[in-house]
Amino acid sequence: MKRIVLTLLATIKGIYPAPAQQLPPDTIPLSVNMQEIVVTAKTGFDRDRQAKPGASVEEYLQSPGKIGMIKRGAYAWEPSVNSMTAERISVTIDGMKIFHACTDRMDPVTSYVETVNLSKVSLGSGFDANPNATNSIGGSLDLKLNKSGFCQDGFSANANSGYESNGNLWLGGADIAYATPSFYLNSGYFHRNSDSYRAGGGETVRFSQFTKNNVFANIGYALKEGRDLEVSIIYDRASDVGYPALTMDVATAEGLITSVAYTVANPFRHFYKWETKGYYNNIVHIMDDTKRPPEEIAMHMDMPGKSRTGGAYSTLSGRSGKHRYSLNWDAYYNQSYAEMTMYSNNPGEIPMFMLTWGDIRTANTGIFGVDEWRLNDNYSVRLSGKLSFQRAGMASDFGYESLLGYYPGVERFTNRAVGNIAARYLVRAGNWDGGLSVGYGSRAPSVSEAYGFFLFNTFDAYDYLGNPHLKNESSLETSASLRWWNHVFEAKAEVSHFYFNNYIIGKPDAGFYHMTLGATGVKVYQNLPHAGLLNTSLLLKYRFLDFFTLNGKAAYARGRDGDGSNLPLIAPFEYGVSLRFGKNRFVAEGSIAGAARQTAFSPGYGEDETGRYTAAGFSAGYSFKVRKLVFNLKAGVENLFDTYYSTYADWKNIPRKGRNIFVNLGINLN
Amino acid sequence: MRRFFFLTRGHAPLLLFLIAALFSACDKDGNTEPVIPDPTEGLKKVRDFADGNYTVTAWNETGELRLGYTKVYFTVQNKTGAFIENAELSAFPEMDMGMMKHSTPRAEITKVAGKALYETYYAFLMYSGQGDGKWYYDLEYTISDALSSNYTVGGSFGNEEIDVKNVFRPDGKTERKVIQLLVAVDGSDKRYVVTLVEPQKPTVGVNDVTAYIHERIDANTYNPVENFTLKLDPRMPSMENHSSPNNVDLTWDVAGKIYRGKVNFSMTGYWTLNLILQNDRGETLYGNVITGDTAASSLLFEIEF
Repeated sequence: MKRIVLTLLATIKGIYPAPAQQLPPDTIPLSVNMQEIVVTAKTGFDRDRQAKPGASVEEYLQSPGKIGMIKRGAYAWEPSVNSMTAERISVTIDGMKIFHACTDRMDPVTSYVETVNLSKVSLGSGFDANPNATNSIGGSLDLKLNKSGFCQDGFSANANSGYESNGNLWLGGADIAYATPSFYLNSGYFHRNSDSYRAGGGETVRFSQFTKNNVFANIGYALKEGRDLEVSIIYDRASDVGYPALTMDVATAEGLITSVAYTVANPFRHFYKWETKGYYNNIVHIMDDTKRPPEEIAMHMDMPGKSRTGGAYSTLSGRSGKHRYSLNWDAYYNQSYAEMTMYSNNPGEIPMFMLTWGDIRTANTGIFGVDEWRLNDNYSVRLSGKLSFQRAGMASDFGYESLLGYYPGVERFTNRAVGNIAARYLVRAGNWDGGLSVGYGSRAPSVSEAYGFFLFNTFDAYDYLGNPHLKNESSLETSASLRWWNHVFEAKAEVSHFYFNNYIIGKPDAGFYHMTLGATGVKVYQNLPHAGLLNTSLLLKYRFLDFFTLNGKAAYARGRDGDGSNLPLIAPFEYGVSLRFGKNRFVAEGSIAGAARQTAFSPGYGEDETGRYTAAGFSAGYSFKVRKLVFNLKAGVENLFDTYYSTYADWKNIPRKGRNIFVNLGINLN
Repeated sequence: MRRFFFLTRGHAPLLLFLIAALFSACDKDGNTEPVIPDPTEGLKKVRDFADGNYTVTAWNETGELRLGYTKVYFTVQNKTGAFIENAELSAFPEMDMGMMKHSTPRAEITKVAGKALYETYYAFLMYSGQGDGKWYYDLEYTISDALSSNYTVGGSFGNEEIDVKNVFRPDGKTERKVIQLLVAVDGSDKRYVVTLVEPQKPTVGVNDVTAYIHERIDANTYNPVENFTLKLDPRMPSMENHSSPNNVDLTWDVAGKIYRGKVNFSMTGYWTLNLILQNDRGETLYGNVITGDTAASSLLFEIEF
């Protein structure tokens, strides 16, 4: 079975849910690797070993440390890596570029997949060597699809169902797989439905309901030995999604994600794999304010958006002697279009119309190379680099005319070159290992930063205006990690620092009039000369008395611009502790997670001080076998003491879920 | 070989077109009678004035006379329907309100170069029926023989009632402000008429905005004023008085004999063009700055699209 071992450095993150058990590596990692979060696995019990098997993709990803989650409701949380979000990180699905369709960030691309679609998520920090990451500075998430793969497994089936008391959440789904060495097919369906949830103390958080349906299929066919053709399709549809932190909800958010890949094994001497993929995805996002009480709506609006991306990449992976290397070419073309129709409160007036993304087209192509040179058992050096060219601008005459009204004489399309170079050094000595990385890279402004037109931010109550004259933002990243471990104890400390030039952020501009009713003013994206961002984390793991594992982690981040003002959405000191007991078919886990008071908040971006909090949870599970069926039963409680709290990442301080009791039943047939 | 292939395959339609054009050109050369092209293409008829010898027809793009700025074209045709190119036209519109009569700002009727067409504009201060008034129109024409300067024909039409329509916002009910008669507040008591001309077809983004300023000498005399300024502040009252950047005040365009500026519409919808009328010394004659307390200027026009 061709399974490329990528999981060696898998540092298990996430106090909750608990990840799969991994033994620490006994040699320096050999692969072009990144950290990974295991979601499902095509064999084994990984999924069912999670504290909450029915968790959403976002719940899997969230943890103090590298990944944060910004919440605007119960659905579609926005991931951040190293305290940076969509415009500074790369989120890809099996290497495919995909971009959100909502101008108000209601649909991070992670919301268009389900856990059943995924096997794992590769986390790259900073300029970590993700070949398909473009325009990323902070890091990358690559969501790996859950393909059966060519193997001897034959037929298998899974069914999952669950219920959560808070919000009356039902979930359920089933998937089947059939795999032979020359053919595989796996396909499934998943459904979630939730009413509005209750905060700690019992108050209902209005408009936090959602419904999600997801179907997927992966088909693989070996044309002949070492020549594989694979097709993947995901269709995901969320409907009636409430966003309590925003002034609008979502009627539907639909994503169609398709790809065809052709893989050649051992194509040339010194190369063991050559994968080429073509893909297309289409996202349509329809906002809706008609479910809100009319007296709470300043003005009724229609705000549909769409994002379509087609692209291709080709990756050659090889090894020779002490080197492992990879070459990659990628290209994509994105269309981002969003409009806004405003229905005046004054009777008789015709609706007002504008394009908030004036049919923005982005064409981008780049080449990437990485070489990991394992000097000996104790040292390795990795060098990587990427260079991309991008042409972006407005296809719509209407959009371009309105842009010209704000930027007279601005070019319709602009060309940019972006790229990065990075070096990493790993060393191992006895029970110690450590790493040191330095990278420098740049990114082009995002669609909203360059061309967004009056995008209202409910957090700071400003209308945001894009700026096509922005310079590329660049960053110098330095990071270090140090770990000590033996067979029962492991401690790892990580620190990364990003020093930005031309940091892109919105600044108030009194020269413009706001448009949205109730807005404070207009912010225009500008390049700050400098900004700095520090992320630190400490992980501890201790196994004792054969069956117990104690996990602890703490993280702290600090972000400031060149004037010393705080950057927004930066986590305060966060921590988590979990104690896990696992024996035979029984597992139990208790955890607490919390954060200190957020003192380094950013009033200029609408933040206020967020108080400290601690929340506790407990879960237990048991698995048993009846003939060929494996049953996994799990139950637990989140926010055990029904604490009312919100974190730095909760948009407009919407409270988190109060006490939530969940049960899950999974059935596997192998 | 390759080039031949390229020409015959790739350019066959172009070649055919060129040949066709050649033949049709030969056709035209053989026809000696000059054909005067129809000068009214794209125009709609407003009405005819016919006296049995000549027919004078008023045209414009809408086929209607409307409150505020109205462009009007004329054709003159003889009995055979041929368009006359050497006519001279003059006209006088007058509103009869019973107790009083008045005319309205207007231009001379002049020949459109190269066409058998004549043009003018009216800045109608009132619409038909407003204050129970009716518009009447006097029109005279003379046609001089190009060969003999002492032979002319002419005719006139008097007291022809014309229909000047009110202009409405898109709801079809609310009157749209497009012209304003004002009394200067500088103590001179002079009266001015400010008339919005463009944008006729507003679009999102930067539009040309043009206007006329006339000084009202008496009820029938309105003289164009030069070198004044109209300071411009476009607003959207239903969007908390949203405004836009990169607007340009209207100043006198010597060549176009009109006040010309720029207005930037950041979206479609209902906009007010708030204006301040200043004379050539920069003194404010009418209108006011918009502040927190004052949502609109006393001199404003409306655009809704």
